[in-house]
Amino acid sequence: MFPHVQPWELDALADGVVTPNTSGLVLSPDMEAGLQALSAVDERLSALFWRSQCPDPAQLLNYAWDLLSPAESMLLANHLLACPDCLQEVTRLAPEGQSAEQPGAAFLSGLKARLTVAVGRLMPESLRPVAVRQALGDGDSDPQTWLYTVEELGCDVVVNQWRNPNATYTIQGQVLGLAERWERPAQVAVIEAQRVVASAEIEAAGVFQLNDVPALDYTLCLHAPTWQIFLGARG
Amino acid sequence: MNESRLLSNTRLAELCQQQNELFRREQTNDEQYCLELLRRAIFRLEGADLLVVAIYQPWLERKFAAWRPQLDAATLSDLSQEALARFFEYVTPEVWNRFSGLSYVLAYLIKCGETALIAHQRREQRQARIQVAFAEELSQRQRVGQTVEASIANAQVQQQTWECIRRNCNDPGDYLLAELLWLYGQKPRDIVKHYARHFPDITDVYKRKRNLLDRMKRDSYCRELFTLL
Repeated sequence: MFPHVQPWELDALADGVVTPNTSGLVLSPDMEAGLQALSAVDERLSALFWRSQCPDPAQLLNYAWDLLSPAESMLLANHLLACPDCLQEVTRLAPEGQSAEQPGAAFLSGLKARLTVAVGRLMPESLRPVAVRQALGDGDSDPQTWLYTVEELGCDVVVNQWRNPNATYTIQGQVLGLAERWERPAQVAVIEAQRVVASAEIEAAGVFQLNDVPALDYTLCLHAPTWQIFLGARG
Repeated sequence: MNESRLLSNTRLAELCQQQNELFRREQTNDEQYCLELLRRAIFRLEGADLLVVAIYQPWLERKFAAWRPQLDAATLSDLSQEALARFFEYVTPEVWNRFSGLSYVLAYLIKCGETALIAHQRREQRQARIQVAFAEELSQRQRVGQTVEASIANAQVQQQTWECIRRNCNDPGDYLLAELLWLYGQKPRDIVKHYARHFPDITDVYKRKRNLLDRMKRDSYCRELFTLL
């Protein structure tokens, strides 16, 4: 009756996502059985790995109280980007009254960072413009400057398109609107495989520069104590 | 030198109790004695930790009782003990030196109790998920003395299953999707919302997920796992 329905469309339908092919579809017993089988595997995988990557509550506590080292804080902030459960727990563990004084969501909204990735001196001249454009996706009028907002958590900062082991990079940036909201020092770090490979203090007016960043896939993570202030790019 | 540093532990504990009492009556009080006693406990000096426990365990129980009125006396006692144990574990001398004032230290101590509650809640939620997802197998496999979590969600099964997932990911997008779906428990709608650059369309998420699961089912390495999964 519905020969064009693809298996993934049934999965979507099970989640309430209707496609043109499944609009008005009444599931046959076979379809129902197939869906249940897939849903069971999905449920088991989710149960098996549920929060297996989450840091110990002690780490969250010390993050909320700004008692971790900058490197540890940045790694944890990176985890919080993808883990709403831990973010909720950090909120529970934060010092009383902090959330009222420094509302995370309000702080985040509208916070922007302008990042410029400049190719290091060992990078072949001919590859620069194209490579950087490809690496960072859609640009604005300046081909080497991209404006990120904190809502864009999925953006990558990838400087490895060419797999040139000798290349190093300079990442310059400016976090806009930080100075008016936060008086304490903030840091920015580049994280690769749960390891901080470069970090720098964010200076006055939100300006920062990371030097000698080797060519790899990166997560760029902005951290300012004590919580919920990070600009993320998952690598 | 601060007067309190010259006092014995016993005398410090007495003075700390007196000052706590004044604090409770909202009268002028001096926090130096309690702070010094806590400092000695953190620096593991002269058995001060036992005196800290004697003073602050009842105080924590009262706090937790007001905070979580539904908890019974035994749970309150366990929770306050756990909070103190975690406090002594987390507060190293370096951390102590960053604390400012008694109210700050005690607020942190209370939050140590919150970490114990969070750990407890995580364990319960995890167990509940395992029980629902693996209900059939558990009824067959559960052995005496083996917890539900230990029988299913042990590190080896996790490692093997993740290897099965990893080897069937065709590109970084598949891998990111697997992480988001199963490690972070995100729903396709949320993934599209937060990772629009990787997954611009929700249909892409469903197609990738279905294809990944189908490849895993065909993979001989994964086949044994799928009898469990």
